[in-house]
Amino acid sequence: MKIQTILISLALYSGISFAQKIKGSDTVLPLSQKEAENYMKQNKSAKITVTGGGSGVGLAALVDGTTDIAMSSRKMKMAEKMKLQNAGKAVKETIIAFDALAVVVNPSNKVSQITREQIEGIFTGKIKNWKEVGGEDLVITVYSRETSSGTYEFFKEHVLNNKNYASSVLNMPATGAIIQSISQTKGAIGYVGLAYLEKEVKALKVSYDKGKTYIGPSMETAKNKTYSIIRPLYYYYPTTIEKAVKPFVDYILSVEGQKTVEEVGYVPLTK
Amino acid sequence: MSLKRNVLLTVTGATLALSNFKIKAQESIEAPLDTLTRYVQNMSDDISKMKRLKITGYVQPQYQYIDSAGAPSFAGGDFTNGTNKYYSRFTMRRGRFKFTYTYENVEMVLNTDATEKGLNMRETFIRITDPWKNMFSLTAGLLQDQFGFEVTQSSSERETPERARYNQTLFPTERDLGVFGSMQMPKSSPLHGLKVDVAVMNGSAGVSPEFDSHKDFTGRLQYSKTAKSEQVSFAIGGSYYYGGYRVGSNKDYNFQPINGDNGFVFATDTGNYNRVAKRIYMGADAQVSIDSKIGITTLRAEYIQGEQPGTDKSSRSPTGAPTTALFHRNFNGAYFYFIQNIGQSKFQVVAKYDWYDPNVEISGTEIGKTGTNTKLADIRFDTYGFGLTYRMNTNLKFVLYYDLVKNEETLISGYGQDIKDNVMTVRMQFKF
Repeated sequence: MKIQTILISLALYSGISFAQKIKGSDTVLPLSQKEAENYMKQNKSAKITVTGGGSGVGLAALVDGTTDIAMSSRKMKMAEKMKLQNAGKAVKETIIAFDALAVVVNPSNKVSQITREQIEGIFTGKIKNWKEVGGEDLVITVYSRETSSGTYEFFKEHVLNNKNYASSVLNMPATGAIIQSISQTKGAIGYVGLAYLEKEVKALKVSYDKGKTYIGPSMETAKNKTYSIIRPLYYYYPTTIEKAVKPFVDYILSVEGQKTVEEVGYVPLTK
Repeated sequence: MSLKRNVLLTVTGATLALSNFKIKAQESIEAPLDTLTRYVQNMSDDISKMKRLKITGYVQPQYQYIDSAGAPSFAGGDFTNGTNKYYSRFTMRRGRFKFTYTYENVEMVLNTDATEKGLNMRETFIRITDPWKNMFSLTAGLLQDQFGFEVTQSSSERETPERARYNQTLFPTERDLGVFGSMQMPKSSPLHGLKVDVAVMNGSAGVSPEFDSHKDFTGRLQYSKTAKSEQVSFAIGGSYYYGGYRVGSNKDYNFQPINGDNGFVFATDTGNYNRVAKRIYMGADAQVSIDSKIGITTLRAEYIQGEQPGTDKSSRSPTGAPTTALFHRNFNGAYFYFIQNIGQSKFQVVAKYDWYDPNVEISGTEIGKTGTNTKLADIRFDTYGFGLTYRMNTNLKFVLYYDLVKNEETLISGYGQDIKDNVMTVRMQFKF
């Protein structure tokens, strides 16, 4: 009887009371928080804690064993894969949603559309004045995320064609700081996730076909893939605890979870 | 009267004391939230201070077995203890405890090695990094040699138990006393991935104080890059070492033709006490890692050549002033690694080949010929290694490794054929 009680307790502890730790990307953070909140409402025994810090921090925590799931707004780097292998850890990668990046300017800026090549020119320092892209005679102030951010790397690789940011670019620690700076600086430009779009900034329509068509960032254009600056958001977790974390991951991938993705401002996975 | 007075004084005193206490108590009252905030703030400050000190390290207990008792070995040292010979041993190969104290852009490091041989200092240095872009750093003290890839790679991360024979010979402790400047291009630079290291050292392997005024220079240039797909990464590097040490009153010999043979001839300028035995090395290294369905594969190679003085028995770099005759030699050496992770499993296999030819101008049965003054230190060694690693978790790994060592067949006694010095190593490593 005693043994049975212990076994049942152990089963309950391992199966139900598994407290999951999720750490990583600040981009994915609000989505994970909302999903965890909803999931815990439905599963009273579930305990999920979500913390940010950046994609790199989450993936490093996976190596150290201080998180169960790493959130990342970029694909895992080769160096991180090697560290995980050296730690004897096999991990599973799951795309939970997509994020559209909007190129934003101060609302007073008359420019409302821009080509990818022009964005590249601005962020690499070749274009320094708004009059060069059809705007008024005004010096361009460029804002970017910090170099440790996954968003910084994605923008460099996919929008700047892997060219380097100009040394004059101002690196900000968080998306909120970019929005605030752009809203206060007339000639400013930067990039933020679709979920962070606010009235204080204006999103530009972007052309990926050298000026033939310009598409603005919205849930609709992101979902139908006509808007081009879209990136996947990842969850990484060790295969050894797959059984324990899968119910929550499956919840995010479910119809209900994907509905939350859209509510928070991210792009749901297309079935 | 006296009693009344005493009572009055006591009551007055007690009243004053109580009222004073009340005032103090009223002054110290604070809201529970403020108390909690103050408490958390104090804890946060304490944690910030504690986080400045980081303790890391690793221990490597191991068992080894060699083909013949007392054989010389580069797999952790010869299998002898004084005149006693043995063929198997348990050792604590490394027991590293590293203390790093960081405050803003300054770092102080103390790295010790605790084994059965005692407690030894491996590194003690101060590093200052530029606070603006973290691009430049200056390190001074007892620090790591900055030549090639394998010398600078941590023994806890290396896939094989020991470094290649030539690295152990040229850089016996992989440490030296001096100063080292580094420049690493930031992420925002088009040259990101490029790193330049320049060092000026005593050249005494860091285990003894300087014995001459001669300083050794090391320069290293390296570049690393990862493909956009994060499936392939590569790195290349070039290293240069220019140094030497005072020959003093010792005899020294140059290698040149003698009566139709090649051998060592007594140098003529022995009268100059301050003449320098030059150590000049040039090296190149490269590695590529590919992530595929079968797991991450890494290929790594390094080549070195140059001039190295030594005794007749060994071409090892000195750890103190020379006391016997010196022989100047041109050498070369190389190693190749093949590392394969088995899928996403905890297993990794490794194959390594390295050679060290301490005297490239002579080989085989020319070595040991009468009148050539060529001896043990002129013999070339080729080592083939095979290993299997099991990474249990972040901290613990097990390594099974076999070194197959081949020497040149020479005229030197005992080295007329390949000596029995193959070694098996079973190692456990705990890293924290």
